[in-house]
Amino acid sequence: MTEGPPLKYELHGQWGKARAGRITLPHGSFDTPVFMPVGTQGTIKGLTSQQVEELGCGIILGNTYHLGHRPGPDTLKKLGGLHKLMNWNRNILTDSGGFQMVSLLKLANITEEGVKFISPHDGTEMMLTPEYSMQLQNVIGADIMMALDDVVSTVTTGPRVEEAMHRTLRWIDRCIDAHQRPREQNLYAIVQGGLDTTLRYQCLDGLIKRDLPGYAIGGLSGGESKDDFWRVVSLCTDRLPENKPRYLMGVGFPVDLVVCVALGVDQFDCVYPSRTARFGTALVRTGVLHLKAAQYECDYRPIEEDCGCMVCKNYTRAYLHALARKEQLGGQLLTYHNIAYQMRLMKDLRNAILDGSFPHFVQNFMQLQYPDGKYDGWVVDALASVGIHLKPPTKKDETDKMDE
Amino acid sequence: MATPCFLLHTLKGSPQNLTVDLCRGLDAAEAVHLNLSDVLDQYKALKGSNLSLDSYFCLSGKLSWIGIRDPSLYNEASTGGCMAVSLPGGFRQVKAEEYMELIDQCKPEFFVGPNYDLPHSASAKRTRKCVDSCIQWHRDGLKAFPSLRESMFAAVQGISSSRDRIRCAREAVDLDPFGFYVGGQGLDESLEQRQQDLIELKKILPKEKPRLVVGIGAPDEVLYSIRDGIDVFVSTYPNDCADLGIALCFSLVPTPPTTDANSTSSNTLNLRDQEYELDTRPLVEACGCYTCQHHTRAYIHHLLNTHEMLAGILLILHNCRHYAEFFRSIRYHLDHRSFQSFMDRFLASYHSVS
Repeated sequence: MTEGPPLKYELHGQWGKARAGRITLPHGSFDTPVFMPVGTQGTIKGLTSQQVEELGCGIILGNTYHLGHRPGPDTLKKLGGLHKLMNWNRNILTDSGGFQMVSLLKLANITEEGVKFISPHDGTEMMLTPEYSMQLQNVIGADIMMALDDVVSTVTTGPRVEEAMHRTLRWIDRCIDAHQRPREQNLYAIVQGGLDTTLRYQCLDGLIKRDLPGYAIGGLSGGESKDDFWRVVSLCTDRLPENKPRYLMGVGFPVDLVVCVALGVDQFDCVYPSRTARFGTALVRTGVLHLKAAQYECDYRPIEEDCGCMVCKNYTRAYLHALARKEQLGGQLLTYHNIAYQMRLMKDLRNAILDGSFPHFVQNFMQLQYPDGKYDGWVVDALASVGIHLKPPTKKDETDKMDE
Repeated sequence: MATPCFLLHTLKGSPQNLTVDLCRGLDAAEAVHLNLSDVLDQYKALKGSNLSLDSYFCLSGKLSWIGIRDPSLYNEASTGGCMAVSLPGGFRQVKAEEYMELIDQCKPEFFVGPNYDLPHSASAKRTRKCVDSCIQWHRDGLKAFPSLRESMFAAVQGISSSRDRIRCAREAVDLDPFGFYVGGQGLDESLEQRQQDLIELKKILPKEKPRLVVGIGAPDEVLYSIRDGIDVFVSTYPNDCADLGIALCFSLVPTPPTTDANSTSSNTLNLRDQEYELDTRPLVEACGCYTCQHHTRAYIHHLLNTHEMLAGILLILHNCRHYAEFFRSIRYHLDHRSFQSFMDRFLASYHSVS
């Protein structure tokens, strides 16, 4: 066993900035680019661990804020960590707990010491410090832990953004010091700096110097324009070391995933596929199907012909329509399919990177998502920046009605 | 389908919370109960699909039985003219001919003849009308669809009036159906009234044809009913327990009850209870269900605490398996002529910890 953090990243192939690789962690290996389903409270909502395995997921997320409340650190410690509690023997990534603080709690007050908040559970004043976040995550036992960063909304401007960036650098040192299990758990740093190029570079350089096993691009997907969003992602991937994984937090929608893979991101997480499933929405290559809609009542096709997942092999849209409207089972089935969809998308992207057909794949994908050829501007720009040019619609596309 | 047995309860056509892959793993339960209301609600889609019930509802090869009375709720909205079936938009009045046509189209392995239920407390007048309808609808139904006789469980109503009960039973026997639905039970009758009713029916209904009942599911009541001649049970018992966070764990190899205050035997586990927070045992040792093979009481306790969907899924998988094993034990003891002593021991143990 070599010295150093328990993560190995292998780069298997590239096309432009897009990378295909493999990450090896204490609980196994998985290919990248990878989509990591979110299992907030120790379960991917509605799926059994075996189903998640069958879907080919090599890593899932757990949420430190929620798990820190229930079951709580004492119980988790006695049970031997989250892997044991869930009986999930593949990898887990936990976030720092910071994001929920800021997004869920009305009275979060961020100081140098940490994030002070009123616990919504019993009204007492609590403090989430870098040290406490590390302590919680050490007990949870995830294979990848996230540093506590000073998260600022992207619509915030002014000196607060710079303050947050510098504090993030000071907190990363406190995280590194407080991390009790560096040989068993990997600590990722999170790049902040808002939409300001200079601040982002400063943060990048500071974090890269600390030589963490992996890096996340934080502070995005929270209200900024997509134009700003992709440019920040791009400048980060340009600067981050090639030999380490890049994780873009909270992304996302299939179009965003494809673009960000093109820009050089390796890991993604998002609640979108599972959450939208519970509202009756299925992901398909051409976009989405709102299965509660009356048009599906007698549609006997599977959600997607070439999907091949358990749901598409067995259930018709018609029956899913009936289930989606009323039954929990509908949510379970659509969650299963939507995660299968994300996994297959990642696999297709990876294969396209490896066999050189990546730009072709991206072009076709975007044509399916935008059948009228009216691509979103940011998508065109972002892909153009890496040498992929989206096709205008041909006559065939205009007359070819997709009957979804 | 070996009897005595139970039918899996379904919602909108699928076993509750069970995706087809999870359903396949539940091989101990061989058949499902489809509610007429669910089939009717999706009838247009079902017919247009040209798929069998098994394919459309993804029942993974389990036998399907269409029943009129929904085991999870009883409504008294039916009158002599029609069966009142509850649909999302309200009650729909379904005529007997319409029902038989639906059965003919859907082709379930078994179904109940056209009828509606009245409880023991119903008035004599209403009961007589109910039995008249039941008899007429069955006659007319089989005249129109004679081949359905072979898969029909003819309904016997009239539980509140001995005369009407007997009349209905005799008519049902004359039809020579596959089996009989003993209607009106599992409602407001006492255990004694239920037993009396079954003793009367035993004299009339042929021994070799199966008898089905709805609304009776607790293990002790199941045993009493089997003793008195019932073969197939339709209830929501394992599901209701799962919904409440309760796992079934009554012993299938009952030992004499002990007076030991420290005895840890129980019939159910209420997994919301704090005592399970650190309990890393499976729900039931040596249980072959997915939940017991993969997960702990502590995990299910956590899932219930956090209101996670997976709790219900795992509990239903276990409860249906445990319940199926209960019926398997019963069949074993019936085959080996040890049913009476099994029942005595089981009830002694079961009631000592309730």
